[in-house]
Amino acid sequence: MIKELKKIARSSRWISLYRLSKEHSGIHLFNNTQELSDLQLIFLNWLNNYEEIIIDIVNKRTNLQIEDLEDDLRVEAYLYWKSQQKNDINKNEVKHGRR
Amino acid sequence: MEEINDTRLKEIQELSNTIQDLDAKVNIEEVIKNNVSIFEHEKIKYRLRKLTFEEKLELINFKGKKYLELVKNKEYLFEKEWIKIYKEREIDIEYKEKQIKLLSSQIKNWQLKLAVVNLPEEIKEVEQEITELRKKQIDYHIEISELMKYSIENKLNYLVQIYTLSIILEKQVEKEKYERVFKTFEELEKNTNNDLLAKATRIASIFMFLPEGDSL
Repeated sequence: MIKELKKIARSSRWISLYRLSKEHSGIHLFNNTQELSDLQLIFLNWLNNYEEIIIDIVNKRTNLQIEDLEDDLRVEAYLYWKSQQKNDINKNEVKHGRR
Repeated sequence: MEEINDTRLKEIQELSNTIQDLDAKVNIEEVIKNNVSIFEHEKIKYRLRKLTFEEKLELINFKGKKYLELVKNKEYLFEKEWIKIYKEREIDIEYKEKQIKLLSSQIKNWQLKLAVVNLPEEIKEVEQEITELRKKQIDYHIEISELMKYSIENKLNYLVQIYTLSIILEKQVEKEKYERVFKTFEELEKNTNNDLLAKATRIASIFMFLPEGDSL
C-alpha cells in the first residue's frame, strides 16, 4: 500500500497540486482541512519528500534523475543521506558557536 | 519455532496477496482524499471511515477500562514478563531485539553508500545488501510478534482495533446512506460473519483506520 501511495505522491499531478496548495490558501489537497488522518499525514510527508528531491535534481545537487524516483530504495537512501548531511552541518555550527 | 515461523510466513504471504488484490480494487487516491473506503461483500456495499474526534475520546475511555481489566486479571502477562519466561526456556527475545537494532544500523550504513554510488552494478549490489538485511529484520519482527501475541499489550491492541472496527464499519442502507453494522462493541463480539470482519479488518489496517500500539 505504501508503495502505491508513494507512486501517487510522486505523480506530476499531485506534486503540482501540492505546490499550488502551498502558494494559494484556497486550494486544498483533501476534502477535510482539519484532523488529517495518519494516511494523509504520511502522504503529505511523501509529497514533501518528492518535491524536495525534484528541486535537488533540477539544481543538480544529487546524482538522482527523475526516473530514479521510482526506485524506493534509492529515494530512501538519498533522504537519509541528506538528513545526515543536515545533522553534520548543524553539529558544526554548534561547535563553532554559530547558533 | 521454525514451524510456527513457516505458518506465519504463509499467512503473511496470503495477506500480502490479499493486499495486492485489494490495491487493485480500491481507489487509494479516493481514500487519501476522503478518508472513506467503500468495498463490497456478498453483494452488499460497506464502508470504512476514519474516527471522529469524539469517537477517539470514546476509544481512549474504552482502552483505559480494558487495560485495567487485563492488568487485574492474573492470567494475562506483560511483555516484560513473557520475556523472562521465554528466557527460562532459552528463547532470548532481548537478543533478537538487539539484532533488529544492529541490522537497522547496518542498513543505514548501506543507505549512505547507496546515496553516493553511481554505477548501475554498484547500485544493484548495494540494493541487494539492503534488501537482504531488511528480510532478516522482518524475520526477527515476525518471530517476536509471534512470541508476544498473548501479552497484555498485544491483547489490548487487538481489543482497541476491534472496538474501532465496531464504530467505523458501516453498511449501505440507501444510495447515499450508511449505518453502523454493529451498534455496540458487544454486538460485534457476538457476530458470526467472520469473513466480513476479516475483510474489513484488512482494509481498515491498510488504510490505517485502526490505531496501532500506543497511537491513542
